[in-house]
Amino acid sequence: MENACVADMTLSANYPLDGLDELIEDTRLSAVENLDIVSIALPRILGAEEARQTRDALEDNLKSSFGLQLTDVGMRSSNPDKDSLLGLQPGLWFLVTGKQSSEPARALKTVVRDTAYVTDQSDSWAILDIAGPHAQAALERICSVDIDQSAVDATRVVRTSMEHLSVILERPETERFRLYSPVSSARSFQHMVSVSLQNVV
Amino acid sequence: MNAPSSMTGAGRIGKGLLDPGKTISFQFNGRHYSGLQGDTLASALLANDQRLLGRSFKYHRPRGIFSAGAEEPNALLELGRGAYKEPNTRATVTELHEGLEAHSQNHRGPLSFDVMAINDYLSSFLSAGFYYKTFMWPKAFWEKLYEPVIRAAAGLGSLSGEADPDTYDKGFLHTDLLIIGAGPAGLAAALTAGRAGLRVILADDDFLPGGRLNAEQMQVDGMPGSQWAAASYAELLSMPHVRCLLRTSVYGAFDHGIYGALQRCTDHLADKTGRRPRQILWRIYARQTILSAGATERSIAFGNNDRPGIMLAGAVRTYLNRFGVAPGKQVIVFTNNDDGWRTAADLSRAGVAPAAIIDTRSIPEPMHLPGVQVLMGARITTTRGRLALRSVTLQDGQSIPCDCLAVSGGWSPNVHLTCHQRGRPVWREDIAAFVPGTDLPSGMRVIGAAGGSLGLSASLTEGHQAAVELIKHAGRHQTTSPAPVAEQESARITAFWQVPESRGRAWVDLQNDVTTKDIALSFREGFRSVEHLKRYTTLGMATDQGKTSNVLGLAVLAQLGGKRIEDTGTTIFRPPYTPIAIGALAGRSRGKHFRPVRQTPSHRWAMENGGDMVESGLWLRAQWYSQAGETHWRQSVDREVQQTRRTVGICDVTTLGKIDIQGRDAAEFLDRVYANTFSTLAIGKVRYGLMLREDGFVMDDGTTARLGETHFLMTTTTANAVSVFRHLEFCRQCLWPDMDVHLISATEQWAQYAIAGPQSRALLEGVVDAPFDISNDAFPFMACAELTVFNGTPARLFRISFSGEMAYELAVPTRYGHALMEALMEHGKAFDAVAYGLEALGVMRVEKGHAAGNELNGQTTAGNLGLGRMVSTKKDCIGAVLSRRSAMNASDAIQLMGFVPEDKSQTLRAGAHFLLPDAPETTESDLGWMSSVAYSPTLGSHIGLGFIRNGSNRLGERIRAYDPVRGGSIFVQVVSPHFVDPDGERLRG
Repeated sequence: MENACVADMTLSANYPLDGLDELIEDTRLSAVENLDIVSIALPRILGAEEARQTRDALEDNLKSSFGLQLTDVGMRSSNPDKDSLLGLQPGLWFLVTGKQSSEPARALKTVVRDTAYVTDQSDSWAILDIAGPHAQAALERICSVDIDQSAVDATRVVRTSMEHLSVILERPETERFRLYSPVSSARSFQHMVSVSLQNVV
Repeated sequence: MNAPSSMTGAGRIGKGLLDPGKTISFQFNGRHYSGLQGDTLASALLANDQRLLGRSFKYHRPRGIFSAGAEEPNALLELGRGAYKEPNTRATVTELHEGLEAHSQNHRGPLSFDVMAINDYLSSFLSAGFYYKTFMWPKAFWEKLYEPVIRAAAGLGSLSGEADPDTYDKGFLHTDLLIIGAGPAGLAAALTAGRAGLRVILADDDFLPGGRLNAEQMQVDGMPGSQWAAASYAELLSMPHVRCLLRTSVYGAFDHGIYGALQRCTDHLADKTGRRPRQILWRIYARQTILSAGATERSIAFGNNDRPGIMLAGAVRTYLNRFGVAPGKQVIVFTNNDDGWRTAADLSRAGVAPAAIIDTRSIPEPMHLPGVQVLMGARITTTRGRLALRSVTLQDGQSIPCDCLAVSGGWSPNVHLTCHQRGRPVWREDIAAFVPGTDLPSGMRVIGAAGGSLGLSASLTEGHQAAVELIKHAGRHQTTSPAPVAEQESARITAFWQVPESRGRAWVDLQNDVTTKDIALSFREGFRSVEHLKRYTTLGMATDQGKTSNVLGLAVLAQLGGKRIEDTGTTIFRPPYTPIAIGALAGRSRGKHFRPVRQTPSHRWAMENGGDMVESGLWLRAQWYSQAGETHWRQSVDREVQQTRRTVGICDVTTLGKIDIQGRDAAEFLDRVYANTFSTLAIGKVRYGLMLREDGFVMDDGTTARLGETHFLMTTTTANAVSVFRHLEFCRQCLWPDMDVHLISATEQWAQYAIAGPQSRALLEGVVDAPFDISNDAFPFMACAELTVFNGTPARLFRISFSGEMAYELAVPTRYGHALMEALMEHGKAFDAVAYGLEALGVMRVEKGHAAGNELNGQTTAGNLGLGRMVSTKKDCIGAVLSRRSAMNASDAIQLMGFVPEDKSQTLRAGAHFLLPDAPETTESDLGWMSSVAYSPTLGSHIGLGFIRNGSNRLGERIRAYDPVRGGSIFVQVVSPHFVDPDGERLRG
């Protein structure tokens, strides 16, 4: 191979939750792997008009490529392909898509060009889906934020902490929550959610 | 009433609200009894005519059941056995279940013959505060005799001494409306709010909703109150937005509408071995709160008012109406209010003709009770009966036989939760009780008996009306349903606190054995504030927190001082309202789950390859990798160091903090946060950076790589990863909000490995994908690049060194970390590669003279570290100005130096202080301290780094390393801190 290294090896991916798929009574706990997560930061521009133009340009880029519109903090937009854009702090979003590139930030940069700074976060997060009738009750044991359907629906995203772990929470469906937590503490993360579910079923 | 179940005791005269077909077996003090499902332990014991349940705290007086709720001061029992044993459990709120085992507590010998009852005869010597006045001499007896004896005698129940086998959980709930108490007022409010669609949480301590409705004979909406409660509760259960929490005590009101609640999940189950937690500690966030916690009846102080068989009048009604149990066959009612008469009426209705009703008031009889002896304006002066009540004696000497005395001194609203944020209750003379003041916790309103409305009709109306107002407040559609209708019973009262003609001690606080004499003694000795009274006498302490005694106690105090009760005041109520097990407070945060654990992606590889793991903050890191035949950690570490310096070593450095910094002003931003300059750093280069705090002391160090014109990657020490990120965010958001800088942590994104040693380049040449060139010319010391490795995996390579060897740090996306470690070790076999751990890392950095956590301790300056010239004078940065303070740049300031023992066989110890050879061991003589030590296999002796005054001028000097804590004092020589490759030839090679 033209760009090969001397060592005749390739590296295979290992995911922290190791393909977890656990059904506890009627509620399923499953690891979500192989997503591209890229943070998108809006350049800070002092002039109001210029700032608005930059934001509009970024939104145009994202709309044309993903069909996603920029959201306010705490809000989430999604498309039929299940890509989503999570508004996490002023001027910062996470774009979550299916695996598209080995270097998703580099790939996204070609889309957003100079309208945003991008950073790959795909490997930073362990992701769990908890789906089923006991999902909300389980999360009530660890999540201090109001996650009732009236407070968190598919248009919302929440950043919070659970059992000392930073967690991003979204609710793509009424009975399905998706949780992102730092990858290094994935085992503790899995344990806390699993115990919560076992405690409520 | 229906016929009693003979299976459940002679005291059972009806079924009350229980199902007579569901009997339950239980044990008390080893004897087998039967009760009914729905009984409390107290009601079942009463049904079985078991009146004597325990011994009092100090005098070991026989005690029985006094109340029917959470306020119980007497009937405290030990439940369960072995590790499950729980002492001081109130029988009045313990739900009976199959197989329940209970034991009486606080007695030596049988319950009926407690040898410690001798204390009762010694009561003259055991008055309030006796321990403050006695045991003063001989002085030496205190620790060896008095204290052990007192400790052995004190306390009530005993712990098992075993680890708690139960599991506990916690949780968070949010609601529009929290209703505390599912009595008539609470149910009325919940119904109205629930029907309007509000999110409601209804919590009640009891396992049966309804509160006093289950204990009374009154009607609501034309049906028995208990039926109305059951129907209302069933409707609430059908509402998806209403959460009903029975067996749940709301124990505290905290800031911003937050309440603590304890839900008991399995205490009432026969089989507690399931996986469900025993209890859940809820934190409830409520927009609005309704406190409908009811009221607690109180006693009257008269001679020997503590015998088994003497109980609160309302409790007698509860046992009669709810549990179908007659607490006695000859019951006398002693009251100062109309409510006491209802006990007599209910007794008559149930066929237990009261022996007499004694009313302290000289007024016309409130109701006509045929066949009942009525004594108006009368008082009980004493009682008789050793283990159970036999008679009462009146002020005129008349003695009336009885086996149960129902006492009502009035009702005290349960204002506790209104006071948890320093709210002060106010006195209402018409009901002779404290009611909530105006300074309530945010969003709280108080209704029903808790607010002083002691009648049923008023409670129902207030509950309904409060909900209507909240619905309006929430902008919801208002309900058209009317308030439930009921009669308003009379609650007239004439305050009467103590019988002046009492013969014998008159108890105020049954749980703490506090009498009116104790209060008088406290008053005489100057403890006249209620807070002082409480601490001097222990009035109102322990599990019941004085629920039946506080008001009575302060009324007695007020009378002594000739004050009004409102001028005497109350003590401060604090959480918890009812006892909470420590296990519940800990929840699931026990043992290894006390806090999260962080693992690097190659954690599994480390475990499979002899890694000995150590906690480093939250991280688990390999200290060293043991190999076969190695019996001591030093063997492993020495091998790793030597092999790394000889060939190549690989170390997991994933834990280093990594911060991605982008923006047009990123370079300028770094200039401001680092002491040295970064705007001049070329793309593809790395620079060591020193970060100062605002006060000029060193905050952290690390390297920062420039990946692009507007893109940098900063590394921090593992320990300071979070604090540095927080600091940078503060700078970005607060100090320089106009800068175009964006930060995001990349610590988790990249798995990073140091590849160090003379063969490191050779190893990596087979790892990085062509055509990338890592020759010394193409990729020199302090270069960096984004590239691919192992046939296509994206990576970042930095040529930096912490070991002093030629070294690189290679980062790949975390998912490839495990595979990279495996591949590096496999590919490294040809180069005799070795994995090295944290200890070898530490040894090599000491050998090289690099500062680390021990040196960056927040009290050292750049000058102290020998890095003073890094603080640029050409630009400003955080900490620059204050780092120039004269004291921080004194000529004799401490400096980081190296140290070797004079006798090379000796061991150095971090923490030792430096003294001149003949200097006295005083603070004034202190020259500095040893900060880091290691055994250097490279040099064959211990070496150390440390700070010593005027260090650079002491090279070669002989000084003493003084270690008084661990003993020993050795002589060391001051040397350069750079033990290995001082000129840096290896790392640039």
